[in-house]
Parts: sequence; structure tokens; C-alpha cells
Amino acid sequence: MTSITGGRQALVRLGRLRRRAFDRVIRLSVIQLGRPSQLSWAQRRLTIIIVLAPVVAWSCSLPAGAAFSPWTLTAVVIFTVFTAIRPDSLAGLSTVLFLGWYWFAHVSTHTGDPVSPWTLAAALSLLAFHTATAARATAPDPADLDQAFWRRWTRRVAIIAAATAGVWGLTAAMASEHPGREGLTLAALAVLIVGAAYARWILTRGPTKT
Amino acid sequence: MNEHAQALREKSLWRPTAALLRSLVGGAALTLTAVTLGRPDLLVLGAPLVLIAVWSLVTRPNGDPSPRTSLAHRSLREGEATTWHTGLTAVPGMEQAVVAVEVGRWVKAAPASGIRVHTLPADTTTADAAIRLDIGLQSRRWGRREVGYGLVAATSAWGAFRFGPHEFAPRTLWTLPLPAIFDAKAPTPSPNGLVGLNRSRRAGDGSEFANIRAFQPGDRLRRIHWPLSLRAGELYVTSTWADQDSHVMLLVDAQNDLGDSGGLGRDASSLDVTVRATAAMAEHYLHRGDRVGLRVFGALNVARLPAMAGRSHLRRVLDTLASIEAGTDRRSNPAKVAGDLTAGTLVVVLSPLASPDALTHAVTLARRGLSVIIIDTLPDRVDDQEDARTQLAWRIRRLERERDIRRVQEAGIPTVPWRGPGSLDQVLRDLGRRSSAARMARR
Repeated sequence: MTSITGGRQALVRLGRLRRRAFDRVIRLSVIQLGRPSQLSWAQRRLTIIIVLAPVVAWSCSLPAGAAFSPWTLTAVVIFTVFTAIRPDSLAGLSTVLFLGWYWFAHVSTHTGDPVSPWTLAAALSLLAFHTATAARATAPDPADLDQAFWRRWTRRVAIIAAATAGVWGLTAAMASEHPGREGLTLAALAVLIVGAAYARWILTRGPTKT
Repeated sequence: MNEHAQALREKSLWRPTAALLRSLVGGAALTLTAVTLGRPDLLVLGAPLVLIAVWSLVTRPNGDPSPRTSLAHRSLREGEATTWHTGLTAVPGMEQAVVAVEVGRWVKAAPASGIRVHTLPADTTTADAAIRLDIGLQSRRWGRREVGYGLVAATSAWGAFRFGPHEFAPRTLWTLPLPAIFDAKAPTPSPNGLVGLNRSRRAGDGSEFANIRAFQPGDRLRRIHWPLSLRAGELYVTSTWADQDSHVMLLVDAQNDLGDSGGLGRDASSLDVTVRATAAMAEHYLHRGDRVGLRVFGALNVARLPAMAGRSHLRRVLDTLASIEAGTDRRSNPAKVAGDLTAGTLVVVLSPLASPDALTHAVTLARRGLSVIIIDTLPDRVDDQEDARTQLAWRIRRLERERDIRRVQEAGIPTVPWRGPGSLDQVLRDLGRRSSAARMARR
């Protein structure tokens, strides 16, 4: 009898601790969200992108063939809010993995086009999300980011977006030409990625000392 | 290499960030799922992350940016600004540097956030190129404070690797009080020094006319008053009052700091008024050639400045005033404060008169035969309180204070509120008249 009571008390304590931890997280989030004035204009813009981009990626799944699922949308919003509050944390990775799982589980590739244009749109949204999160984590909340920063990051995003569009185009072409032979497609893409990395390294390395 | 240096070196490494982890793990997970389960759409989703991860790894920074910090000035006047310099050595792969300095209550930074971000130009790949991040710091109130506590960090492409945040130690910035505007036309009552601008009570070399008297051996020929000598048929000379300097002792009450201080140009607390008034009086009397001393009670670790003359002494006075921290010493010994003050010294007590100690000091000094003036430095709006009980308490304290001041005035010690220029003229004239009269001093 004593052990049952002790176990119940331990469970009650555990429950209280969990509630406290949850309350603390929620309180912190509310406090952070209630202080938008601490963010500089640059950081506010990035925060908006962080919050909107995953929702856009999720929305792309609907025309791509997924059924509407309110709880997944809620989960995406929660993940993005946490990422916006703590950009330099694992919340961003959780958002990416959740979106990947959602796309894998809810978007069927067998019924329609295996790589629809909506896939490209979702990939670009993920790119925007990752870039905004990374950029936001480079400086504190009240920091103003200069023009050179915006020019550099915009140029880079454009390069990656173009490469992603290339990957999408190649994948779509291969999937339509050789349905069911995705292995070949993947091998081609791997070569493309490695080639891009090599080209980048060639372009950015310093002059050879003689 | 000691442990501290080792720890600093370990801290200064470039470390992968959550952004790199996200691109690596997210990209790898999506790509592997695409490969193993034959889902080309997941490959497209993971493509940007994989590309970014590869880009980040290829452009991984190499080297130690070696942060250095310095403060352009160690001491300022109130309202003046200095610059906090942070230097970093650019290393290959470093793209952005951030410095954040803590901005205290009395320090205004430019930029206001105290954070400066510098994006390196795209062609900065050469090692040893110096990056300089400057933050302007304006000190808004006198005193000693630590400034520059902050962090410096640097990031690589895509924010994938981060150097730091490297913490740097704060530095001491002395802010000297900006003297208030002050001027006194009345002479000090008992000048007793050797040279100065104050007219003494004895005749001698000076500029102020005393009378015309018969020539005596030893009188200078240029003092002969020729018109009267020609009319009278014997020599007469013009005599003058001797010019002497005064010994002014400024006694500062630092037991309390009443009211809210908003810094220079805003609301002033009682200690603000006291310190700025003291600085103003010291500046005024030192410029006139008088000897000025300074004693502070109610604050620990404040030096007693002996009476000295000269402009360099003003700097000592300001330095001493800047080191005051209110209420750090509750012991009060009038005998110790009076110390070696000699007759003829003009003692000016600057106090908000919130505690009876200042009045006790003033009475003790006056009983020793010194000329004492009390300057009331309590700000006008100090009792503007929202809380009804606090208002009532202030009202009671005001009544007690008025009673104490009345008693001190009845004891012959003039008490005047600080009003800037001319605050002391009337009381100095009164003291001058009184000092020529006979009186009894208790010793």
C-alpha cells in the first residue's frame, strides 16, 4: 500500500514538473513574442520569413496531392514560432524534419506527377526558411544589418534557388523519361552536387602562391 | 600555457552552428529517404539544404581572428563621448563580425543598441586584414563605471561556423562632473594667504584704494600722490589694501542621494546637484587664485584633498568628486572632518540636509570660529511621489528639516539653496561684515 502511494506521489510530482516546464516554455514564448520592439527592422523581416516560409511549404502540399490536415498545420506553426524565438537552436532542424516527414507521408507520388512544380515551390520555401533562420542567428535581435549583408545573402539565395530549380528540372526530366529508374536520376544529381561544390571551391580559393 | 589561456584558446575556435547542423542533417535525411524509398520529390526538397551544407563546408573558415578591444579615453566630462574599439583579424572564410556592448543606464551608445555588425567585402580573403568595429559611448552622468562589457563574434558563409562569442573584459571609465554655472562677486570674508584677488583687512601692496596718508620711509616713490603733495607742501602717498588669497574648504555630504537622476540635462538627484555645485565653486575659486580643499563624508574611499591652488588642482577636485558613491560610509565624525582647519577658512557645506549630520558638522565648525555657509542642494521636485504614504513621509521630513535649518540659522550659520550664479553673494557680504566685528568663539 505504501509503495503504491509513493508511486502515485512520484507520478504526481513528475506531472507537476512537466506542467511547470511546459508553463515555463509557454511563458518564455509569450514574453519573447510580446517584445517585438526589441527586434530591429532587419530582424523583423527575417522573422516574418521564418514564420511564413514553412507555412507556404506546407500549403504547397495541398495542390501536390496532400489532404488537408489541421493538426499538421498547427504543428508547423508551433515549430516555426519556436524557431523564430530561438533561431540558433534545434527548433529549425525539427521544423525541416517535420516538413520532410509530412511531405513523405501525405503527398503521394504514385497517383500523379512524381515531381510537380509544387515540389519546387516547397523546396524554395524551405530554402527561404533555412536562410532566414541562419541569417537571423548571425546577429542579436536589436542589430541592424547593413546593405552588404543583404546583397550577399540575396545573391547566394539566388544561386542556390537556381541550382534547386536545376535539380528539380533534371529530376522531372529523368522521372518522365525513365519512370521507376530514380536511381539513375539520383546518381546524376549527386554528380551535379559534387560538381557544383568543386566549382564553388575553385572559384573561391585564393591565388596560388608561387 | 596556463589554464586561463588554454580556455581562451579553446573558446576562440570556430564552431559549427545550428544552421550547419540543420542543412547537414535535414539535407542528408531527405536525400537518404529519397534514395532508399525512391522519392525524387524529397530529393528536390533536400537539394537546397545539401547545396548549402556543401557550400558551408567548402568555405569553412581557417585561423583565429584574435579580437582586441580598447577604449579611446579613460576619463571624460559629463556629456562627452568616447569610442569603444574592437579589432578583429580577418581570416579566410570569415564573412561577418558582430560586436555587442552592454549599455548601462548612464551610457548612451551609437548605435543605440550597442551592437555593430560588419559584413566583410566579398574580396576580403587575405589574412591579417584588420576589421575595426567602433561603438560610440557617451557618458551621461559623473562617476566611475565599468563600460564595454560585451561580446564579439564572427560567422562564416551561411552562418555555418561561428567564432566566439568571445567575452571581453570591461574597462573603467571615469566621468568627471560638469561644473554648474557659478559666479560670486562678493569677496570671501577672511582672506589670509599670501597672494590673491581678495581684499584683506590690512594695508599693503594691492590694487584697491585704502586712503591717502603722509609719506613714511620705505614707501615707494610711485605711490606719491603729487597733486596733494604740491598743495600741502609735504609728501603724501596713496595706500592700498593688500590682496590675499582665501582658503575655501568644500565639505560634501554624500550620505544620501535623493531623487531620481536622469543624467546630464535631465532631472538631477541631490548628489548630482551637490557634486556639480562643488565642482562649480572649486572652479570659480581656483580661477581666482584661492586655495580650495575638499572633504567628503558619507562615502568610502574618497580622498581628503588639502587646500591647494592652481588649475591642475581643479582636476584633482573633479577626480575626487567622480569617485563618490553615495551612502557607502555611515560613520560621521565632525572632529575628524574639521581636522586641521585654521581660522580664516571659509567652509562651504554642500548637503541636501536630509540627515542631521551635515548640520552637526556645520555647527561644530562654526563653534571653532570658522566662517561656515551651508548650501542646500535638495532638488525642488524630490518629493513628487505618487504613493500617498511616501508623500506624507516627505511632508513630515520637510517640516523637520525646516525646523533644523531654522535652528542652525539662529546659531548664526547662513543656509542658502543652490541657485547657481550669485547664490553666495549676499551671505558672503554678511559674513564679511560680521567677521570685522568682535565675537566669541568656543574652542
